[in-house]
Amino acid sequence: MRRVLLAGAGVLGLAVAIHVPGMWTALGADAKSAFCPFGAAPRLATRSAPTTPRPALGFTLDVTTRSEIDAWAQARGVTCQARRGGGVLECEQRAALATTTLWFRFAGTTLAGIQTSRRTTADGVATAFAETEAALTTVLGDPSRRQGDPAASALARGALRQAMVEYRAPAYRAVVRATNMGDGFVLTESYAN
Amino acid sequence: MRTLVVFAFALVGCTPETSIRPDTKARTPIQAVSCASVTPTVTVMTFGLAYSPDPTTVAAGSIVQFVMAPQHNVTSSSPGLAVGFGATTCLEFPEPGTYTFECASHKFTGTVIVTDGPEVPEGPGAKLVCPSSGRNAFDTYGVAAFVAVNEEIFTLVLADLDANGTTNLGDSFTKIGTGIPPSTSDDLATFKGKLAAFLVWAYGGPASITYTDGKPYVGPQDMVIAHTGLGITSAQYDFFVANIIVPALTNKGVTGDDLAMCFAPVVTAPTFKATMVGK
Repeated sequence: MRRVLLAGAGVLGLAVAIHVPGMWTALGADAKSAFCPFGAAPRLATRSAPTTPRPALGFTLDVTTRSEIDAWAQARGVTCQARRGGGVLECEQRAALATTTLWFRFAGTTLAGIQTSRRTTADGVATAFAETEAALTTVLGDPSRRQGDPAASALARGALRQAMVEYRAPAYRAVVRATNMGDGFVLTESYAN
Repeated sequence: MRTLVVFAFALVGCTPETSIRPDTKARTPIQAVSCASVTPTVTVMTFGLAYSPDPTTVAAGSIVQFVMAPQHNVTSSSPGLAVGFGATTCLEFPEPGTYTFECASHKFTGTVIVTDGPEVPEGPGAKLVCPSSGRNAFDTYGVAAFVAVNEEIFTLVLADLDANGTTNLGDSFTKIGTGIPPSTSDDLATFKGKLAAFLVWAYGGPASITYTDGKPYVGPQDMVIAHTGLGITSAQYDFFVANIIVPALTNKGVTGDDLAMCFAPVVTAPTFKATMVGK
């Protein structure tokens, strides 16, 4: 019975995360349609998840499986390599204005964490930051911590200017940072249990 | 050349009483020169019962200025290495070697290390000016802040390793002390001391420090050697700077304008990044 409940919660959590606006923007405009089993369905705002959701870039920690990540990468043409004895999958996604490196960490065959580093423009990083923050806030509520001004103009004022938001929930922590690296701008995201 | 006056009180513990070994090598004597006619490389002062900075590393031929409090002096078996109680004296060290000295009254000791190589270069951030003070980062924030930032870096690294394993940081920290690859041969305490010394020197502080473990560390280091075999990628470097370095600095009170003006140019310089990425 417990297994059934957990599985149900997992599917619901994944569905919620997939439909959070902005989650997929960082990975490409058509990512949702490429993976979403429900098409461009509206966000599941009327149902509450029985457990704390743990969204991570459109995936769900402790729910998404390695085979699902592999399928996502294959569908998107994302290049991935196994690292750390297979426990980490390092992927790189190139787009016109951004290059994203993603590190997927697995516990067995289940997704345990994601970290990303995305090089893009000042406007690109500001937009991605705002979309990601809005998406996480929709699912998790207000962030537990926020620092810095994420506007492109503020980040562009000097190297190492940074804005960050952090979300904490039981067995979950998400940190998003937009940083001026001097020679470009970086959006980093970290999702872990 | 700029005179460095460094109060390294946070780094210098009480030095245990030691006897000064007689110097049996024949050396060109240390010479006193007029402070009015020279620009010292380093100024050694006293703070409590310690010399500061200690040890002091300079190139052969450098001038070290000693500024003694009234109750302290410098005595040594090395010919010419002597400064009176309360005196300010400039001494030229013509030959390489390790010169130890002590306060005759209180027996705390100090060391000047004279190298035979070229003069220790100025750190890449030594001339960067912090808007908050008009001075470089080290002179603005001081050695205690640099120690705090260094410790914070390791705190954040350990937290990241705890939460994310080696997902992003790879082997850069988990192989500390293993020696495989050789760049990881230092144990954690040595690694910490070396990083602290590098940061202090890089941002305008002295070229050598005594860290909280009581051991001396030299600031100028070969960053390529230190990172060879680690295979750090550009994305990992970005992630590390954004998630470890910037938070460590801001958590310890570095303001945004100072971060941009007197810290960032070192960290974000392509030449600096190139010493660590892809090695």
